Amino acid sequence: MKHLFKALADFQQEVPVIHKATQSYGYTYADLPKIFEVINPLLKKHGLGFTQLINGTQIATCLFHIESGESIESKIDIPQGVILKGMNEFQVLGSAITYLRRYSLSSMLGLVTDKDTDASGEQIKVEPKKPLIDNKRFEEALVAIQNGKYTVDQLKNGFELTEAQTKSLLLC
Amino acid sequence: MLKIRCSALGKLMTAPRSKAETLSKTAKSYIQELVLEHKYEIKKEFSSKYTDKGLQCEDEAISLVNDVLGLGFIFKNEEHFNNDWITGTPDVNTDEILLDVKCSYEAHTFPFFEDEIPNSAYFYQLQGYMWLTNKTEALLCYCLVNTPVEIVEDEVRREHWKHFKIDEDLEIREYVEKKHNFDHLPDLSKVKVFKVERDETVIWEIQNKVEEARIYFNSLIETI
Repeated sequence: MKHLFKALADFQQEVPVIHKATQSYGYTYADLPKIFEVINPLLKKHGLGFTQLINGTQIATCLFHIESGESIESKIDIPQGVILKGMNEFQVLGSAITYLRRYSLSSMLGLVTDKDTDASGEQIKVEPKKPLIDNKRFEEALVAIQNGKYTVDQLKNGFELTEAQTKSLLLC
Repeated sequence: MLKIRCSALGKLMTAPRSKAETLSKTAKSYIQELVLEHKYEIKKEFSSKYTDKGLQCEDEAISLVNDVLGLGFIFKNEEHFNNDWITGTPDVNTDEILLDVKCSYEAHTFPFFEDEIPNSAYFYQLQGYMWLTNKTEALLCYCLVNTPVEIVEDEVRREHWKHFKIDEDLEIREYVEKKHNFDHLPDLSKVKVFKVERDETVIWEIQNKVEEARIYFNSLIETI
């Protein structure tokens, strides 16, 4: 196995962290095309190849060294009888296969996938906030407060105020 | 004593098939749900992408209505009202204005050209609110605001499944995102207002229907 292990170790030294394929709305995982795009040239460089055969209810991921024929294999069961809302049987199966292929391959090659913090900055999931209030509406709210139809507390509790809005509220 | 939520008045007020009946099948089904809830705490939870959008976009819709209608400052009402027959929480209830917002899921369900309220259930809902708040008129405001990102993402996935696509197809994504974005429309076109005037006859009918509902409710409570 020395050829395969050496090639795999060399591959791992070179393969970068694969950033999650973030589109405008931010997908949360590195999908197969993204993974292939990164690993295929490096696998070729190090004389490695892989197959992911579906045998019955299993996916067998096989990594091989082209010249020596050495290989390692891992198998994973495809969950059966899973029902997902809004999907027919074939869609569930397709979804499961893609999912397992992605994770089996990543695991076998030691890939690391992470958020893309370079392209769009660190994306932090924020808790739902109070709505913002634009300045025009804020002015109207101040008038309502002055007329006794609304209160400062209601305004503070109902909206996420900007610094400037908070300051002008203090002057009220 | 059984009280009916304003948002459910549409179900209660559905006309029965024959004159011999006092409650429609829809009304009876709704009361049966209330019986189960009351007696065994079996609650029918209902949520969908449509209701999710409505809830998530409520603040934005009120803000849009505020901008477009120029009604002075309006804000989300938090007070829950009830009388001896009905209960409800209108979206906006200031001294002058009573209104409820409805966020259309997509452009095709937004009543651009309608002259009358497309869904009669909302008419009864607003009559209920006027009864509760002692107002003489109310506004039903349909709003067309962008669908929240999470819901759009669900739609993107659903559209992929529909086309048997596993990996992302940018054309599908663009198609869905475009369908749920209305930034290119002027604000004025994104709000459709129906004015509803208080109708004492309708309120009297609601009251009677709630009485009928109670009779049916009590009869069911005894049988299960």
